[in-house]
Formats: sequence, C-alpha cells, structure tokens
Amino acid sequence: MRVVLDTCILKLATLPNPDNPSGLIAGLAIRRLVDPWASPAMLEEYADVVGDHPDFLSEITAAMHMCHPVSRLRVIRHEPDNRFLECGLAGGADYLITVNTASGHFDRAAYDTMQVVTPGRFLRVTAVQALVRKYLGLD
Amino acid sequence: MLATAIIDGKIVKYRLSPALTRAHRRNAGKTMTDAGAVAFVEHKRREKAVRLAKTYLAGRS
Repeated sequence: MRVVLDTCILKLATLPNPDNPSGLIAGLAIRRLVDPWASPAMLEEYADVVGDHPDFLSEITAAMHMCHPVSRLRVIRHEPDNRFLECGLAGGADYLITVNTASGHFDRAAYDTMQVVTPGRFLRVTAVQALVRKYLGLD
Repeated sequence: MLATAIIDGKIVKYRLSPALTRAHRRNAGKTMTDAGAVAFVEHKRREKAVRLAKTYLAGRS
C-alpha cells in the first residue's frame, strides 16, 4: 500500500500526545508495512520540520521510496502542498495522509485515484487494520 | 516505549521505534494539536521562503 505522508504527520509522530495515530503510522512506515513515497522537495521539508530529531528523520526517510516528479502541478491553492500531490500521483500512491484538509489545502476527498485521509481515518481502513494487527504482533 | 492511539473508540497501545522513543523522551510533557502541527509546518515554510529570498536579494545587490 503506497502512501504519502504530509509533513505535519511526521511532526505529530514525534510528540507524546495521549492519542497519537501519527506515531503508529510512522511505525508502520518504518517497519515497511506500508510503502511511503517522497520526492526530494518533500525530504527537504521533512528535514526542516523534524531535523531536530535526526535519528527519527533518518529512520523514516530510509524507509521511503523516492520519486522524481517531472511535472509541476498547480492544483492546490496553497502552493507548497502541490509537491505532495506531485509525488503521490507520480508514485501511484493510494493514500495521502494529512491533518490539513482545510479549504485551499488538501480539501478534496481524492486526487485522481489517491484518497486524502486523516491519520484516524487511515487507521480505520480495513486493509490497514490488518497491517496494524501485524505491527502489534496480534496476527 | 509504548504510545497510544484511539481507533474506533478503542485504545491501542503500540511500541515506538528506538528513534521515536528518543524523540518522545526529548519532547516529554509537550503535546500539539493537529492545528498546531499545521501552523508549525507553515511557520517553517515561511522561514525557508524568507531565507531563500534573502539569499536571492543579496545576490542581486
């Protein structure tokens, strides 16, 4: 299952929030139970945002498949968000996981075949629940 | 270290990777809302834009 992780998911993963679905998603990615995709532009932003946790940055980026989008999209009004869309569409991602579904950001339910989901909604997808059980060692 | 996520009303405890465990220890006591995380990323984006603009302008002067 191919996913694109919005940068805020990585930021939230590093915080000990009492309800932290983003940390679980990062765990699924690190254990390669899901296939996260990233472009050079996304890696640069990941480094800017979670660079103060270099071990985590290196652990999560090591699990990522690289894509080099050849086209520059201008679909989303908030320009930097288009880098995630470009990567997801070029890499054939099934899900873009974000908490930023406000108007002008990832405000559509799907872009082509890539669905936009929040961390909580992603973890409720039946196929993902099977992966979570595997991650938790319940299978 | 164990962390928790609430999925469909059920509390799920999961083990963090060693790097995430270190991150959680460093961030002990801190929490952030989804909106806070979005604002944090936007702040970083603005900082980078300003940095690049300064470099560009310095090159032109």
